[in-house]
Amino acid sequence: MALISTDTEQGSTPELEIRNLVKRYTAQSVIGPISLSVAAGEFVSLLGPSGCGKTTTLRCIAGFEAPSEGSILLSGTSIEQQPPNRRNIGLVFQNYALFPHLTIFENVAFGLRLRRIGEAELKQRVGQALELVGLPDLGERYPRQLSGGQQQRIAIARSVVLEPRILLFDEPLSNLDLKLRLTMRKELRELQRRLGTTAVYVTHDQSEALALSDRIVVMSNGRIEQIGSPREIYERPANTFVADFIGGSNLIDAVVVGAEAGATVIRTKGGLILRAALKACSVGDRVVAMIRPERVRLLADGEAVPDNRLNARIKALTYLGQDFHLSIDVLPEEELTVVTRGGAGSALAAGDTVVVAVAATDILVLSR
Amino acid sequence: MTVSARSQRPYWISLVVPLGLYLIVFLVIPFINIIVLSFYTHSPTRIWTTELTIANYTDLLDASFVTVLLRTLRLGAVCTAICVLFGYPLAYFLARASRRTALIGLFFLVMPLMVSAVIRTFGWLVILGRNGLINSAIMAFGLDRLPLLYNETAVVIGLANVFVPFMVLPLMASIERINPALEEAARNLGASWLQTFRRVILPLSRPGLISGCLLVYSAAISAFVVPMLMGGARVRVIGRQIYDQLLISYQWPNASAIATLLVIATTCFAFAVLALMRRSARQEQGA
Repeated sequence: MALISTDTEQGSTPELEIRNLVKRYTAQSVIGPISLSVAAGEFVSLLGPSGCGKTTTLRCIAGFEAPSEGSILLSGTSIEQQPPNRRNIGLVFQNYALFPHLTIFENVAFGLRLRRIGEAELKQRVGQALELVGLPDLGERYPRQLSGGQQQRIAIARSVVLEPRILLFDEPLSNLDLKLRLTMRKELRELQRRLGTTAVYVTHDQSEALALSDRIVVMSNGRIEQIGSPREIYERPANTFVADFIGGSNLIDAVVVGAEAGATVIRTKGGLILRAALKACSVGDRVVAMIRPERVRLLADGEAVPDNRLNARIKALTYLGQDFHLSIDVLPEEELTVVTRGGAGSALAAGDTVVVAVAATDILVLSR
Repeated sequence: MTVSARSQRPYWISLVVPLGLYLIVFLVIPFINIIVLSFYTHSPTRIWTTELTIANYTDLLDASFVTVLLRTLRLGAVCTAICVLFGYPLAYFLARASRRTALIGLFFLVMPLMVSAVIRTFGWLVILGRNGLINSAIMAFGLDRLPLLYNETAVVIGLANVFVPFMVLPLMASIERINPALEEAARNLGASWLQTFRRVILPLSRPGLISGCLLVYSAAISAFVVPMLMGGARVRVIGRQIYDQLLISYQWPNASAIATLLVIATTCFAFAVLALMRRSARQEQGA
């Protein structure tokens, strides 16, 4: 099948390489330097809050912004001098950007017609692309007659039909409602795997990035904070920004007071002594302790735990269907957010005293 | 988009009646009067007599008038084409410019309209005249002066100057409504800048283009001051013809016939264009 590209070269040259990319708007707003390489067939997400530079990076790759410094290489060839229409990089827009005056068929055929593909082949390839996104019968319709999800699929078909070297996605699902977003997320991932196309995906939605990506690039203020697999990003965030941005976190200011066998001992600002995960640091270092809400365990009466057994009082409690969100005051004066499954939380009420535990390995010590 | 067509009767009446009355009294009734007059018989002593005739219309088949008519339509077409040529890039620029730039640009664009036609035209005379700026410059280089005035080119220059805003404003409004992401999508799919224009911007701004052409063309073929001052006696157009018949020859019935013909021609043109526009709008909606 023409649409499925074969991985011929799995050599040392990355499919896409960004070297020291800098984009300067004004003296104050500078993006970069950003360096990143993406292997063939890899799905990489650029994740960060708005204004972090992820979209600018994407637009530089697509050719809609000219980098102030640095270079962008596609299979080792520098492309930043090429106009956007010569790059053969597919881009799927947030607002779909389908041509309203053209039928769905003509939308998908747009790039093929520019390439002067013969009518027979054109029909076949457009048909295949529409088939691929599961909408083979909508060719005669116009974009405005389609739902948002359908429009986004057509936008994907329109890019994929040209067999681009890379597919770029600019927050493609953010205009869809939650349920559709989840379905589309799955479809998108399957499609990308099936085609084997390298993908760079921009999003501010961390769960989207976690679900879709082989690797995530977390960005803020024009810089890369961390690059890693979803697991690495979530379980071993490089700094407090990443810890805070990916998944909810309890971030507590603390000071290193010592080291024990297999643990770092810290004292929080509120005076709590905690055994935390090992980290290369010395006594007196000011650090931040990170605790994921779902790693705080409510203890049953008399249950024994090796470390970090804490007495607490429930301050507030939010029912979220599947989960309970607890806000607890750990005595003497530290506040923690705890997520617990429905069963364990259902008997609790605000004001109750509870005993919670956190394993030392679940308290990450981050430099401040 | 506009006020709902189903709004209640008294409401829209109060909105439409003031201007409606004004137009009836000062436009429709005088125009009916002109139509009637065009069927009266010319009289050298009493200007007209009420004997009905179609001679005023058959007179228009005269070769000299047909020349004037064709020249007028040609000038209108050339002027419209020039306005499209100059107006499109400008409209695109203004539509995509920052608010501030667009405002400044619009000011300069509309400025010619704030000056009276006569004064503006005299400005052109100063530039294009026998001893005008351009010819002085040419002669300073020891070359022969060029005939820049009192020909069709001069008239087209003068008309286009006035009417470019009528092209730019509707075009700009149309282009503003085109999502810039569509242009980027086209570029991303492999379209050069020119292909993007032809396949995306042009079809999507067609309503603006059509209204612009409509405005410029109907204004250009009924223009009077500019052709008279910049075209002189040689470039006679319908407007000038009506003026001469009316105030110099006292041929009121004949002048009325020409006026009626001009209005009918413009109206037919407008309807044809609007029908075209409606069809393209339907096409775009995909109905």
